[in-house]
Amino acid sequence: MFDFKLQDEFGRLAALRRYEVLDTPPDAPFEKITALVKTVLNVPMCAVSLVDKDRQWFKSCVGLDVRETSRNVSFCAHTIGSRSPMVIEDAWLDARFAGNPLVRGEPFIRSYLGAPLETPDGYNIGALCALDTKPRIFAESHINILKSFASLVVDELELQSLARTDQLTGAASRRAFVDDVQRAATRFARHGLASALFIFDLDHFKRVNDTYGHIAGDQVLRAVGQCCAELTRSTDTFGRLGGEEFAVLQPDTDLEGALQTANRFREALAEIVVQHDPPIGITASFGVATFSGLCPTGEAVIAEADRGLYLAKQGGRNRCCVWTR
Amino acid sequence: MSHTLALDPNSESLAPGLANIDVPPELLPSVSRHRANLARLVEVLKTAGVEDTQIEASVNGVVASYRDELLQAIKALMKSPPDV
Repeated sequence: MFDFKLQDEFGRLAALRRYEVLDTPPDAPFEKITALVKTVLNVPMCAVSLVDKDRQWFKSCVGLDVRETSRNVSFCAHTIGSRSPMVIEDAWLDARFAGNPLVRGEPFIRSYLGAPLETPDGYNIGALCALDTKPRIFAESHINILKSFASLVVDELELQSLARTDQLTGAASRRAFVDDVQRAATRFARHGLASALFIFDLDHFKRVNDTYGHIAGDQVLRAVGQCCAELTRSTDTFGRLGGEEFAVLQPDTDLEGALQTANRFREALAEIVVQHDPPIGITASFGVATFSGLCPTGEAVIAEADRGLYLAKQGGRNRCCVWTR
Repeated sequence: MSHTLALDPNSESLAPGLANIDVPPELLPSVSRHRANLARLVEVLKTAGVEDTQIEASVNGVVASYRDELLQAIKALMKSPPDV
């Protein structure tokens, strides 16, 4: 039977992107799983490989010194083409892999067992693989063990994804937003690519809750989330920092550009009318900042945007401000 | 020493580290799926002849890290109180 999702590379990559896991630091759950597979299957190497457009990137690996390889040498890139695990008992005897540089050179892969990482919506985003430097016959029971661990890898990815999203507003959670800001700080430190961010806080939101109740307050927050999602570019991160405070991170954007975007958000929020008796309108105050030599870290740029937000509140609210030294 | 592990996916004894967490409804499908996957792991490890102590260590290790992530997810689901 034709399995559309195995052929749908665009959908597969979109599914992988949704997890926002590529290029993130090592995480204990995945480290534990690869260590366990290595022990239980008695293999020298094991990896959680996520197959990106042109590369495979390892969320976790033991016994391997690389963090990623090109996709065209990846065994796991073959594994994701099937619903079943892929077994290579001797790579030297397999025409697909006999000349592979990972077989002929470091790490000298000779046998391979890979189980697809299948998302709940049916996309294979990568594989959990066990590798050996000698030919090997993998018993059916070992294949089942690897499949089982692969399911646990997907469980962890799913849970992390849920933890990254604020369910009320659909925005990234504070943790997820701060992670993205830290990644932007790394890009700035390594390549000088400046990102900008703005923080905004709904004006007099406490009054909304006190006057109309928390259900109405939640309606307002939901409307804010929807409005901002429509305005946010695919490369930006829209996050809820807590309560009625939100933020947007814009990669490769200067202060002027971020200020313009912040003003667009401010105007759009001021047009929101939440259906209620009486209808509820809102405004928000914004603080804008960008990475710079004086503001090179995630903490510093958030603090600077916060100072701008303070100025906006002090200046009468419903405005965007930049704190200048 | 031999240990007996429950194989019922709904059994609290399979994943006692998750038993005392009040899981919000939004996360229940995820936690149920995880319990079922843990149960399957125990089964396949037993079938492969892995010792019970090794099985228990494996499950405990996986549960401990899943528990940490679960708590983070629950925090993300909790509505932050508005500023006073």
